[in-house]
Amino acid sequence: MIIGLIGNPNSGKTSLYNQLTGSTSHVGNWPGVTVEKRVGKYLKDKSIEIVDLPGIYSLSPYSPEELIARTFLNQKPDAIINIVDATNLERNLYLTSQLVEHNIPMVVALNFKDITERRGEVIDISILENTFCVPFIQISATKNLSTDELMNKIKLVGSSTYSRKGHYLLNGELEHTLNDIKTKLSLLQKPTEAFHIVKVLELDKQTLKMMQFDNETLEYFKENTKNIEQKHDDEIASIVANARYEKISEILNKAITKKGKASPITDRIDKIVTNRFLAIPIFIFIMSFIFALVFADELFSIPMPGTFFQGLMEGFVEIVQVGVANLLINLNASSWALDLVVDAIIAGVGAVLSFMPQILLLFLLLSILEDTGYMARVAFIMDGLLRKIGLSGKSIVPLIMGFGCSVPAIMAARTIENENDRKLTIMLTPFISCSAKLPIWALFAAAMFSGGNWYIIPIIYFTGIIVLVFVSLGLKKTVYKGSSSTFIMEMPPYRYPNTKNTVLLLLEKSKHFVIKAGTIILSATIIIWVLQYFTPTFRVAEVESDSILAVVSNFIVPVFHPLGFARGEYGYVSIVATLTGIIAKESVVSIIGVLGPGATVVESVRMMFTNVSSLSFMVFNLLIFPCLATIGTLRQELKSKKTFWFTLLIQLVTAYLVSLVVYQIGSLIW
Amino acid sequence: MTLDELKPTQIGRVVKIDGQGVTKRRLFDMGITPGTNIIVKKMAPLGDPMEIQVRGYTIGIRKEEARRIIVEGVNI
Repeated sequence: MIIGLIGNPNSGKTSLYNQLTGSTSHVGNWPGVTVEKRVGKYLKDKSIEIVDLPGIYSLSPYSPEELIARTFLNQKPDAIINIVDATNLERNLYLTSQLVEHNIPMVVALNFKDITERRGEVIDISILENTFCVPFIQISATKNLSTDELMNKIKLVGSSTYSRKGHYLLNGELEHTLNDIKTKLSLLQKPTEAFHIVKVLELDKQTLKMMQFDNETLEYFKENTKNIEQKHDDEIASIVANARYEKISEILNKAITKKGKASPITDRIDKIVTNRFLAIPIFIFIMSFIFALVFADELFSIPMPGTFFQGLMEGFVEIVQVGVANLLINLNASSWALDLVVDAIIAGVGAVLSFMPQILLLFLLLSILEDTGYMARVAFIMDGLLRKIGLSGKSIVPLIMGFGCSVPAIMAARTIENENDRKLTIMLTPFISCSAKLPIWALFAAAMFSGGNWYIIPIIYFTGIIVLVFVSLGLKKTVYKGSSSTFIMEMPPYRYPNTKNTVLLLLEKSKHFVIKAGTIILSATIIIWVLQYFTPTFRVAEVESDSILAVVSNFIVPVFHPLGFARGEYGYVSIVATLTGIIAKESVVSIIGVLGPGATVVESVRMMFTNVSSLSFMVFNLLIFPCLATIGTLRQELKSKKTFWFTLLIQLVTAYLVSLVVYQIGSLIW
Repeated sequence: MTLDELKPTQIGRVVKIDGQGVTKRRLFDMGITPGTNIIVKKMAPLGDPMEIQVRGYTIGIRKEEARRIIVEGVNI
């Protein structure tokens, strides 16, 4: 049995889906779009397949999400569960009024039963059932109340012995008009499913095409509709929508026997959180706190969890390294094998895995924040500012996360509905200085800019942001021209975060991260190892500078001459460092340490760079290709190969140009 | 007058929504239809978007979108 789960965004659909299937696992995307497709089996009866459809407000054919729902309904599933937010009945029932027009067995799940009860609201379910002609069951998805009852009902209506005839729910005179259309359609022996009739009235293109009317009939219907439009001085879609809402109001007036008292908490919180003056400082405060938890060593002498778990992971990797090394030695493995497995693979993959705890923690904290409904407020607050650079308020979360790590940041862009906005946000995220790049800035700050020049680090951060702004404006005016989507965004009441949802989501994300990023990193680590272990004639390199990597780097060195770094005997080291930085940005510092001329890494930097060439080198590493984990995520989230390669191209060009400008202008000044 | 001209705590009743297209559809899918009352709650820190209450729930909407909504004042 195939059951579709349909409802508004924020109606608790995800919670219900998790409750019923025990997971958030998705099986890729719906064909042709980047909308995630989620299908799972009902835990208590594996013969029932539950398809989680994207949250939609209506079945109009305008967005990919709505089209997916429409297509799904056309395929006639066995039944659908329409999940409705009972604390927001009027708007939620709008979709319901469209769904009941289909001949598909249906059950309405009135979610948030616990909240309506707490508010003292009393709803006469029988009135709803009689007017909508489908069963209504009050549930609480998060508290798992009555979900069994719901599924039993669904099994009943979805079974082959039950059939349902759709009907329309519109106010007043439109009902007469629709009846007339129905009569006409049946005379012409055309399909007369309720939703077809309404669509004919609305002159819906898809439906008209399907009906294959002759010209006379087509003109008749068009004339009909035009008359109605003229009478109401409005377009038909608007008239129909209004009629739906009027009907719903009428029904609710009878059905709600005791109105609940809405909790003022959401309003009270919002008075502060979206207050004109406090909003942005509060946002900065909350973000700083989250970042401290994830990336700081300690806050007011309290050790922070992020770095703690990262340390554990690093320690674990070390143990594995030592263990495997001993094992291989005991097995008399050759030295190259030892080098490859222990120093390259385990070290390389381990370096990336070691910051997985922080990525996950960041993601967890921001998901919890999203669950409460705060992120909708953030988009609201930041929209004004982001529009000026060609993005929208919804881009703020990925961009902020980028300060920590681009991997979860890019994945967070999934919530942006508009395809162009989403692509642009994903492409811009790597320009933000992530935490893995911080050791590079810290090294150079210590080596070249110590004393009063600590501000070099914030300057690097601002450079990233400024480049981002310019690239955004540039792309928006050229490649991604065209109006952005509408903003119109619901700000749901604040709710307690559902930890079960979040944890399940986290597990899914970790699995993905480990698999996807892991395979790319593993392959690349091996390749880089080969390149630095062997000479061009495939003998083992005696000295570092004989390796393929060094030879190739030396070859490329002239290209970097105008950028100021990569000069002199040890110029190739900065190239190798940048290249290995593509595996993990932390490698930049370690390569300079290993291959550099100085006794310490700081000394090496002083010997290899000048003030100005330090700047151009830092800027180059800031803007050039991100680490492999991010590249892997980019490839995954940017469906089109073209966009993916275009992103890399932009990074290359921007890094080179900005670094060039920094060096050339810098050397004129200093 | 149009919705974007209203100030916080003012209420407007929708007369009509101008224009065509996706934005208009979205607006009335969300319940903004002729005869509906809209309460303006506040403006975002940069003056845009605006926060409104419709049919018992809250929406953020840009002023350029609000400009399409023709309203008559209920308590101005």
